[in-house]
Amino acid sequence: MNNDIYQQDVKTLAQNACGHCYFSEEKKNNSVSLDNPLCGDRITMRITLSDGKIETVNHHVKGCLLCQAAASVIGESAPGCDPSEINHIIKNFSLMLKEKNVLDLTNNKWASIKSLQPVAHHKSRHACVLLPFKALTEVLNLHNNLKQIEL
Amino acid sequence: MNMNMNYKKTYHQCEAIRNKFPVFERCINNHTLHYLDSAAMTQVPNSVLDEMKKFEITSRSNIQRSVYQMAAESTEAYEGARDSVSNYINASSSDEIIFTSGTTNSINLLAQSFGANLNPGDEIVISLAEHHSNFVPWQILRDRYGIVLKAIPLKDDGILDLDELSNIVSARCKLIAVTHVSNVTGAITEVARIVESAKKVGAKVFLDGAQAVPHGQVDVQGLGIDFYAFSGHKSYGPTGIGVLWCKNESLEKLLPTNGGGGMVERVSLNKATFKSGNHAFEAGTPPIVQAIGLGKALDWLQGLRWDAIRLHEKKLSNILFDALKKIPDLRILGEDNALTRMPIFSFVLKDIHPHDFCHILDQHGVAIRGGHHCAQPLLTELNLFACSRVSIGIYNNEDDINAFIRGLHNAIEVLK
Repeated sequence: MNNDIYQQDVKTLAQNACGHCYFSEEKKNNSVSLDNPLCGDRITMRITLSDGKIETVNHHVKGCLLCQAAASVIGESAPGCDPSEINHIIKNFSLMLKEKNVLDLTNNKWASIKSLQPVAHHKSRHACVLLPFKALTEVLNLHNNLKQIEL
Repeated sequence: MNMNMNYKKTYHQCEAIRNKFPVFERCINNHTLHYLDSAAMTQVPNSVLDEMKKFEITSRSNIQRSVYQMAAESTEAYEGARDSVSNYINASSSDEIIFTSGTTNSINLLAQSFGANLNPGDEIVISLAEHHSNFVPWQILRDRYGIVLKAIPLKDDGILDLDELSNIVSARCKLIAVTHVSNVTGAITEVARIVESAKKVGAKVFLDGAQAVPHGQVDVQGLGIDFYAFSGHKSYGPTGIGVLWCKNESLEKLLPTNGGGGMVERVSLNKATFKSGNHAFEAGTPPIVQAIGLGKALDWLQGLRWDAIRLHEKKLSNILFDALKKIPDLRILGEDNALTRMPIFSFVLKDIHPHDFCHILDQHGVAIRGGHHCAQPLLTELNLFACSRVSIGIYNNEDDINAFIRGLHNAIEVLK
């Protein structure tokens, strides 16, 4: 039985749920919520920035194990990264899914993302692992817009 | 396989039906295909495929536009399909049948056309158990034209709470539009109560029959309703074809929504006059071969032994329901009864997401649907955002159910 995408490391990532939190209405300020229209899954994500780098990531996932694992990778690896590093990893991760490439990692901080590589062979599940990364892009854009308004 | 003598004959009849579907010759992930997603899309029998292929090879031409032989054959085949639909749902005339691209298109057509005769403040009643296709078109109408949209609430198990009808249906109600069979719980709507409530205030009744028609003939006249819709792709026919049935007296009051060729009598710079009746609602070249395929599918369905099929469906439903009930932390949606519903079974497993579950099932060759099933208001009422669904078609057998049960246990083992 080929259950390659549900290896123990993926399940552990999902269980650890690094960055997981419940969002009170108050905490929803400056957060983004994204839906997966295919299944109705939803992620809410909020970040804080310090000196142009991500300081904290909080997320709440109502979704599948793969979506939870991907969110956990972000919760674990994104703090300390600046937006250009985030863009680089998202670009590479998307390309890996599309082309079934081996991930080109310049930063070992993101080593756990390799656990998601088997998903590349299951196109119907790409949206599940991409949802948290799309949320991360959106929340970075939100901060960027807020910064411009402040200026 | 143990079976008593009475059931043995039924079993062989149902296996003969399965053999008419070529899709079951294929394998999925090195397993026999166990297709249990008929509520989303049914498979197509050889007779329907052959009929469509024959038409495309020998008679492909546009309808109602030319006098040459092929065009006459095409028109005859298309109108013959309309007769087949009319017979299957017991319409009083095939003139009451409008071909559309599917149930969603049928409901949008009805909403726009029926809605054009409404005034702000007029009310339309739906239910919280509706598929999005019987939800969103009415919301669009509400938001654009000031129609008031009300919804019949649900009981705890997701079944329509028809005791609330008297509180919801007012003198301003013009239409009650509800599902005939729920695509999530398989619940069969008590149509008589809906009709009684509507008639008290002079309102019309529409039923979304997408999940009812595949399970045997429907009698639209006997139901006492005004409008009915269903899809070809859920009724053993092709995709891209659906039906809106309008009772003649209701059809006369509807206004065309799409303009174009085929629906007009005469066009000048300043004016167009429309054909009367159903033809006014089929602008442009219709889905001809799809209609012919649907007609063939319904003729084929009509000729089946439905008493045997229902017996078989009940047997499979019982096996499935008993297996689901034995799983700890598994919640079955809808009535706690395998036989008071159409064979549609949705459920949730604690701490296991339906997409993960369905992915593992696919590794067993078992095709089932996980997600919100285009019924988010219903799932929200049940405090869920997704569920898994097994839906049984006329070709399913015990092997399919047993493969599902094996996959269910394996998925729990892998994902827990």
